[in-house]
Amino acid sequence: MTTTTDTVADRKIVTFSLGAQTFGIDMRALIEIREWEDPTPLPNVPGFIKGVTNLRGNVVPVVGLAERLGWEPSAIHARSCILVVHIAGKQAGFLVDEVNDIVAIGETEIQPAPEVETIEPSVIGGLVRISTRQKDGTKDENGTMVLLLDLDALSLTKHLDLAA
Amino acid sequence: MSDEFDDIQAIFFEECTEGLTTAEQGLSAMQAGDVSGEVIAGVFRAVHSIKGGAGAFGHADLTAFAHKFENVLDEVRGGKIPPSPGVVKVMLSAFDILSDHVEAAKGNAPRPADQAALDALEKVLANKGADDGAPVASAPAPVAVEAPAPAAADEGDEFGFVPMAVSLDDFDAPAEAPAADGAWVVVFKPSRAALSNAGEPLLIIRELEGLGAEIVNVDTDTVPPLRDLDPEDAYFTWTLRLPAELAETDITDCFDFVAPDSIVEIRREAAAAPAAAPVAQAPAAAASDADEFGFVPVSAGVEDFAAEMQRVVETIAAASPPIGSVETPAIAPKAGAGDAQQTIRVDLGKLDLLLNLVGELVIRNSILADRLSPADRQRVELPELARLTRQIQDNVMSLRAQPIKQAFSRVPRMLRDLSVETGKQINLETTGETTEVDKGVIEKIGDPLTHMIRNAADHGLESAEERIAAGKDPTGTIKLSAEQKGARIFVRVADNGRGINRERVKAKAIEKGIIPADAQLTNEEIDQLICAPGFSTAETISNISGRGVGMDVVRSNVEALGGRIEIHSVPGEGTTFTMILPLTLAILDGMIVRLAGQRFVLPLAHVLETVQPEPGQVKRTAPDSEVIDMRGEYVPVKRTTEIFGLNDDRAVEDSLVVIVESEGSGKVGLVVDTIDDRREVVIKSLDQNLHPIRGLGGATILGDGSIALILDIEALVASTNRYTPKGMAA
Repeated sequence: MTTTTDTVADRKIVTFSLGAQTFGIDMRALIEIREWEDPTPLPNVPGFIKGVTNLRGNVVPVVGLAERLGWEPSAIHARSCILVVHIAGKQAGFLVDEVNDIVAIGETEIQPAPEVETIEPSVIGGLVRISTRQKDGTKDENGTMVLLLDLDALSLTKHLDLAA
Repeated sequence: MSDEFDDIQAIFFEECTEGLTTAEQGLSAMQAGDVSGEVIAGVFRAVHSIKGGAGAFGHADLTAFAHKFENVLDEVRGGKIPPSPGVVKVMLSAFDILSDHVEAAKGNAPRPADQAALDALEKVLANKGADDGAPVASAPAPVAVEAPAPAAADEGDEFGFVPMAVSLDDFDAPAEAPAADGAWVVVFKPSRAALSNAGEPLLIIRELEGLGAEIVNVDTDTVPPLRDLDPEDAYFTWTLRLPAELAETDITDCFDFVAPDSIVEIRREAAAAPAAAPVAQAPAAAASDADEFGFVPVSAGVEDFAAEMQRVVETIAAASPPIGSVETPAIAPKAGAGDAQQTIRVDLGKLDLLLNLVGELVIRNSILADRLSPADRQRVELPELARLTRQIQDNVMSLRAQPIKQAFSRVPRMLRDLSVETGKQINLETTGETTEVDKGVIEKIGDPLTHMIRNAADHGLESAEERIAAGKDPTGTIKLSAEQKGARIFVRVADNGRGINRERVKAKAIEKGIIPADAQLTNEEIDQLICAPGFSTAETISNISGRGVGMDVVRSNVEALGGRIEIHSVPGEGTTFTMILPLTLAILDGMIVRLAGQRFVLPLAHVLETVQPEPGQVKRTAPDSEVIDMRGEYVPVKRTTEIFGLNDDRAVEDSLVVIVESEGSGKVGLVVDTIDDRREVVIKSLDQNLHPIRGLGGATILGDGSIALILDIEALVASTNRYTPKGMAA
């Protein structure tokens, strides 16, 4: 997978794309990946909360992750899907453009994300470069930068507290 | 101590709690004049079980006290001590001390001072209750024909019970044996877990043999096939015969330390052969029930859920103590006592999981039905499956409902204590205690109820002298009642005391700065001040200090449950506090409506009527305010779509107006597109995974798997209502 084969692969991440960016979350936080299905919209909530959906009897919010992170809202298309994750003891579904891969990375490969001047703590826990498989099966030697999401920092309810 | 020991001990304490509840109910019934044999026997059994368990776990103080108490109960049961009011009173005090002992054994409280109660019990024993007045009502007729053996042996006959055999297939054999010598027959089935609990049955049998016992039968029918056999478990049931001349206590003493779920039966052979109906199906039956549902694996989805449900059901069954054996109190077969129900303790989390799974099963069921062709839909399997799942759902839902008796049961004790503390004579009347309420509600009304009762006893009721001076019965009465009206439950605490002293309440409120000095308040508003934060009634009205129980605590607790408090007071005649609570926190009777095409659930409890407005029936009173003419009454109309920011340009004439009644704002009309359906929905909280949202009471999952949001009428109609200051809201 990676060119540095000597590192210990001690984390598995799920990579997915939002617009032109590739993000990654820890495999352990993932509950399931489902097809996009219009959620039930909620009144009086911030725009990034798309609504709620039924996940095996649980009412789970669906979050427009791109908007939550400050990017352009994702347009819904055929490959849009929902990543259902554990986040701070709760469950949430993230709308993402496409799920790419599951890759193993070593802790040592993770580089710190640059400090950003924002009010809330950065939700990007680190950067890591992975090589990606091309459609023709060859490897892209330049690799892709993956932004690792810090789910604990990505509080949904804190935002709601402010909005409420 | 090992975790296992702690677990077992935890079960013992749970049983203690149940036993204490049973005992208290029985004693209260005796106090009320019901001194039938069943009631007395019930109390005896409860105390006896506590004693047995306490002995096994080495709680010496508890054992000693329970033993003394049991002695008195035994004599009362045997008709040797009449259950006169005086005796019952002593027993009630003893019960209170027993509860304290249990708490002490749990480590929650210091060892209670029980000498006075012990002395009182001793006195009753010594005097045979003679100087305590005549027996109340009919004392149990001592029918005993056999030897004057202490009652435990033959209670069944003495009270005319039909003794029910306890899972003993060989019951008949010893019972039909020659009855000439009236020898003792002891049937002993140790707890399945006896060996792992250090309750080696062999030791007990050796001890009995030391008394001259001979084994007449060993029942091995309960031994499972080898592949299921757990060598650590005890399976046998022994039947032993002992010499007739032994005292019964010699035999019972041998069983003092057996685990509470062992079965021990001691009787005289002379006794008529009891009807030996093998009773008591094990609670484990639940596991096999799952199969009986006969889930037809119609599609993969349903099959999965059926399998998952079965797993849950099995876990629940497994959670019960020894499977395959009977859950009966140590001694004594279940002697026809009406409310002696077999129970099984289940973790509430498992129950909720089951509820979720069943809900999902129902949903899958209807999805499946939608996908089939109409012809297939009519085939017998599908309606059958639908009926079964509906029944399962109903039953699972009812599992969460509990009689409110559970919350009421601690009140009598509390009032006895308060009666002593305040020196007031208090009589308690309870009604509606069988009203069934969701378990969550019961758990949460305990504290508010305690506060209300204390309030009524401390501040509501006058002292006996004051009452006599006011021309009232010196004994004050507190009425505790529960009643269900629609989807709400009304819990009332009414005293016939002095009523709220409004002048003093108002003066105190002004002094504390809760209201301005020139405030003009109605009587109701003054009454509500009691619930204002920072208003301590303890300082103003009563001499009992150090309590400072604020009614604002009560109010906030009740409001947290989605309920409210009403206060009604008449000076000189008394005060009534009413808690109005939702019947359940889990299920709601709702109307499915559409707003801008989206489905919402409107709680039916609020709905008065629905109208299709005629042209001109809805009139504007301001650019953003409308009323509807309801037979001459102008009712404000709210457009829910606007409150929620939904796009809707539907004309009001094309819509329906649902008239709802809210607690805060009276009648309000809500404009909805259409009404789809009416059904019971399972409430799913939004804050479990998100955050509470104003105007919404939660969400629910509809038959097709989609989510509908539940409207919170109070918040909706109040959202544009004028602000009422906290502590003053009527």
